[in-house]
Amino acid sequence: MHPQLQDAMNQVSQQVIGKPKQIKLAFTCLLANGHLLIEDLPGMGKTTLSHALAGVFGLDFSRIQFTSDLLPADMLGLNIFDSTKQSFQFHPGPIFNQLILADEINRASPKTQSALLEAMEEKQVSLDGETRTLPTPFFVIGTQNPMHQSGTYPLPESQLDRFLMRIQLGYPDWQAEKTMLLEQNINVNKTPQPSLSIATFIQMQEQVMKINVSDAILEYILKLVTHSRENEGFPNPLSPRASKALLQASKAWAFLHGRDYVIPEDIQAVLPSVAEHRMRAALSDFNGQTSLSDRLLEAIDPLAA
Amino acid sequence: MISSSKNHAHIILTLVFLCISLSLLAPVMGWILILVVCAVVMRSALYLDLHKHAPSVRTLNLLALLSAIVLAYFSLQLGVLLGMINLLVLACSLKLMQLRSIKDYYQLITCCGFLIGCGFIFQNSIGFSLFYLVLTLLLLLSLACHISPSLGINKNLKRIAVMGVQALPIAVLLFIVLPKIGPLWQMPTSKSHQTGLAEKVTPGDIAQLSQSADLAFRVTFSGNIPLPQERYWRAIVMEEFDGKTWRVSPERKAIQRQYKQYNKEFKPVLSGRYFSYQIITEPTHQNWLYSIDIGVPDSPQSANQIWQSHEYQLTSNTALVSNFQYSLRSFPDALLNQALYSVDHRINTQRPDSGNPETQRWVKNLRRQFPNDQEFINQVLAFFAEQPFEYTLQPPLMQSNPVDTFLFEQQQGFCSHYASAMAYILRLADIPARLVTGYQGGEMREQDYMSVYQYDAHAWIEAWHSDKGWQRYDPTAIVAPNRVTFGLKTAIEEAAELIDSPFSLDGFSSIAWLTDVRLFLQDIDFVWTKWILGFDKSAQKDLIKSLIGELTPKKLALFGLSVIGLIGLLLAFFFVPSLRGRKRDYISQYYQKSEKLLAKLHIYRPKSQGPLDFANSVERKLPNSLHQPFNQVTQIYMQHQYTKTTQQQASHNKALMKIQWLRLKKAVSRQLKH
Amino acid sequence: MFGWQAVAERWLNKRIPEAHKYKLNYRSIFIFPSRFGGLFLLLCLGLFILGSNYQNNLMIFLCYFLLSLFLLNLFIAYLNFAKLEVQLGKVKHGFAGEKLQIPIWIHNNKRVSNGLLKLNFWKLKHSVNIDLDDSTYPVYLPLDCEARGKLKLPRVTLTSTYPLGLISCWTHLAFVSDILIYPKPLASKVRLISKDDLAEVNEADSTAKGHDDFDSLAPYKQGEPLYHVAWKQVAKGQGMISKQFSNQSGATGWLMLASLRAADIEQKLSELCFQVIELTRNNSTFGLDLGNLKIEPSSGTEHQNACLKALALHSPYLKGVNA
Repeated sequence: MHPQLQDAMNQVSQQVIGKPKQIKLAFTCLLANGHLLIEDLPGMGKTTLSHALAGVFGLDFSRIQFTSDLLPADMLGLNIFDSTKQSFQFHPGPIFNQLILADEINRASPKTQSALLEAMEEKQVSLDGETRTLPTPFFVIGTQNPMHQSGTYPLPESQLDRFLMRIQLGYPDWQAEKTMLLEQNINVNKTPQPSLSIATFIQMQEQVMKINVSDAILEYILKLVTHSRENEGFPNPLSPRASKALLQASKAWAFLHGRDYVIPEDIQAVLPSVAEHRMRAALSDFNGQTSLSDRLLEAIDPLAA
Repeated sequence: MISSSKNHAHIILTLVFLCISLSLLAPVMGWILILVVCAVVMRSALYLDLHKHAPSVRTLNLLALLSAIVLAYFSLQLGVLLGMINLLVLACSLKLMQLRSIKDYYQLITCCGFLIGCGFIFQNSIGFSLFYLVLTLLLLLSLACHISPSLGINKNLKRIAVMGVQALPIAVLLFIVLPKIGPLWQMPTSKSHQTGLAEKVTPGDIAQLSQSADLAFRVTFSGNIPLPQERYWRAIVMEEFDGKTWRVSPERKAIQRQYKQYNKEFKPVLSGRYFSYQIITEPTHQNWLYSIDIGVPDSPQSANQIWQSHEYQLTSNTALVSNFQYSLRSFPDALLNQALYSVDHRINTQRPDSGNPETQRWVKNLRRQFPNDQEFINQVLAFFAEQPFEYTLQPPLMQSNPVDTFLFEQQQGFCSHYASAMAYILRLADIPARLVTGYQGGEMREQDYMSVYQYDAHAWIEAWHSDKGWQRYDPTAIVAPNRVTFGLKTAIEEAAELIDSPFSLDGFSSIAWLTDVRLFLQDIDFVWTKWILGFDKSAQKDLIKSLIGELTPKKLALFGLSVIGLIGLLLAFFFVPSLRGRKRDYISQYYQKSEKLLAKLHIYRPKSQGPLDFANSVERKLPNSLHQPFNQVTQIYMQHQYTKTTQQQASHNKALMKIQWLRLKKAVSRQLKH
Repeated sequence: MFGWQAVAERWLNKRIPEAHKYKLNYRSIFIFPSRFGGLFLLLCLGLFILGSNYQNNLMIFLCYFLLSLFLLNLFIAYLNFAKLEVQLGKVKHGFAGEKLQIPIWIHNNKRVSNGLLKLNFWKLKHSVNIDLDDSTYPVYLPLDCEARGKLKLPRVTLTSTYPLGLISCWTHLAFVSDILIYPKPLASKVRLISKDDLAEVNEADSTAKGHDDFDSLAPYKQGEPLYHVAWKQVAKGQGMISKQFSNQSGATGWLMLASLRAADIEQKLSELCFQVIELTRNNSTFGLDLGNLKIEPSSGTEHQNACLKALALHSPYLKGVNA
């Protein structure tokens, strides 16, 4: 792995303790130039993770707490009449930052949600007929609370798939939580230091683009998505956008592991994060069955001709 | 209901139909061709979206009815064959106009296929054959476009080309091997399509001898080749003269019919030096055959197909609707006195009593001076030599008393004028004489074969000699000796009549390479005619004989089986590769083999596991000696499957893969022994 | 006639047994010259006769060439067809009297098969033509569902005449399916019956449609969803007023087959079907009693599906068990 990347990851894992896999996935998502959805209960470290990520990459960071009365203008910014200059002056909203933490995304009204999702997709915002480009890189880390859905507007499936990946943090294990508490006790200040520049990061993203994907890998991806389309048990089959996302994410995963080519294991590693939220909208449907992505993976032999 | 708009299948079919119809320009009537063009224009407009609606069924029915009436009116003079072809073209053009359903489309395709076949009746040169082959392939292309419309015309074209190339060897095998059968029934031939020599000659009527450079027949000699002045190809013997026109005697025809009925063929006994040769005629749709003087069939095959009649005239049993090959042996020195003299004499002294008074007077005078037949004949020939006769292809018309006019006024004419006049003179002198038409000359291509063209057509006479029988006299040879020795070409070149003659193109013959090309094309055409067009029963038999030796039933059965086997092999060659499907590549195969080796140790890769995970799990389960080679195998496999490798690396990997696999195999077998 | 068909069906069942997915092979493919193929052979015969009679070698050669093509076509057609893989897609449940769209997936991943492909249900006329070179999948085959119950999917017939229309390749595939056809919903009054005293607890006077309909306005109560607020009235300054929808949630009772007055059992089932759907839409809790089968009161989609399944499969002569 890239030493700078390794350093960044180490820093983040000091902040978010005991979640190496999730951190790796989050890195993958950013390297793949996609947006990340973190779905978990409050207090699981969603915000900490986002903070840490912004810190190590040295990205401008802003946090938008979504509430039901949040208006699109609160997020995007607005034109305000400046009486001294006798003209409208644009006051950019918090979205004009490189990394946005959109907290509790499902609390906002659908209108605000779709404004955010549009900005995510287009990487630009249109206000009063004027188009403004968002900074590069531009990431959104959305968080969603799966429980206590009352008074919320859950994201529809069609919008969920704007997020490249969805991860869950989950409770830390005994040892990790203990470490966390210990550190809290001695109150160590561990503000993350930017360990790689934006330029390097963008360079890495370009390298990810160049990762070699062989025909066998493409076939494997196609077999996976086709299986979800043709067989019973997959309420929302995977779309071509999903297969693109899968490819992109597995390339980033391969890069993260210091390979310049994708192997089936990469796809298997990212598939649950990339595909599960596209195939089943709400986590609440998940009633102890095997996850859909596992069922998908089990059905396909990656080495078959 | 299928739309024609942007329908490649339809437009290709339309164009093919247009091409076929145009290639049948001669047999198809003009007004039908106009209908064809209308239909083609209509289809093209529909294809290009210039027009939206095909004509209604009612309009077409009306049109069909009218056309049918007109065609019925013409059908009597067309005869069965031309009638059928005209009807087919007409029906196709009407169908093309109303092409609506898939059924219509298929019917049209079938009809067009049949029309292509019919085209071969009229045209069978290499050029036209290739043209029709292309049309056939286009017809198939139309079908391909119909069945897979969105494959694109290029891909369909490629498919058809491949299919055509694959079908060709099978078709050739079938062609060589499948037994040729004779005509199942006598096919109607159309009078209007007869070519070659005419059955009657009216010298005075023709102002200009129509000539063509078309081939009449080709000859290959085995042994001696006749000298130019010996190349008199007898074809039709005309014994009936009415003062103007010579024609085949009806009495002769009646006699011949009788003989045929009892199957009593005239078999002259011949001896002396002979020429042995084989003739391939072009189709004439007539029955006359050609031979040098008296020819008799040289092979039993030919003997079955040829009828020799008492005027030493050969006819084929069936009309020459395609190229016909036969072998003859000719005895130029044999005497033609074996037929019944009384009949010959009776028929060949008939002459009209009235007409040509001057000639009658002149002959009476001359005959009084020379009562001896031979002397009289010599005098007549001398007359032709002494008088200022001129050989020309464009003589003036001589309609009343043509012989008088020719002999004493105009003194200009071509072979049939001279021959007709002389035969008439001899008959007036009570010497049996008859007109013979055929060809004189022939162009030898090196020592291989001789080509005789339509412009070599000639007429001469035969007169009866009491001892020697029928003797040939050629008055034209006396007037224009070059006509006989060097051919018509030289004769008319001297007469400065090159213009409008078939040789005008030969003006270029001074350019050497052009002549070479012409001769080369002729050679190809000869091979084509001899081996493709003339590939008949006996040729087939010879070919098979040369392949397997003597034809015993056992051998033939074996031969048939081997041919079927050969076709099977061809098919296997074409299709087995795609039947086997995609074969896994070398390295993947070895990876699979390695997996099988591990399976012996009861280590299986779960279906969904990737190679790296599997290798790791193997590492945990097996000792170093085993997992190390497998690790290597996995590494190579992954490099091969998932990375870009150069050609060099790939071949290196192949070698390496095998080595590592062998290591693994050894390790596994060692493990199993313990 | 019927006997013959039964024999054919038995034979087919043996030769092409039911499966989830088919990879076409020599066992499942039938191959025979198409109608046009017959015409084509007739053309060859015509050319042969004409060619023989005119002793025209070229015509005979043309005939042999066409025959060779025919022979090649036999193989090409088979190979083209044999590369197809066919699978039944996800089928939703249908209602009797509806046209059900049956999805069929055709695997032609590497574009190895080409040409037009005709799909239809065996013995049914309606067919769908697709072009294997340019198609989207799945292909939907419409099927009329006439009677409720477990749908016996007819065999799916695939026909291709690639490459030149001379040879017809076809197959009749039987897919394993468990498609349920629910009774046709018949608008009727919802009658929930209390189990205890078998008295009607609630003869709702709801009309056939209307549970979703706006009913009345009432003062806003804390906890009501915001989207029920009648903003128009609020804007007029009438205070917080929320829309009330006719809503019977909370009504608990039984739908009973025996209590229906319709004469025909099918009609009764149809009415029940309608009521089940309506009640689920209203989020009601209800049970279903079909006499030989009882489904305990519950609510939600799962419950609805269970009820509809029971209705679809109900047979009055079967001894049932309590679900």
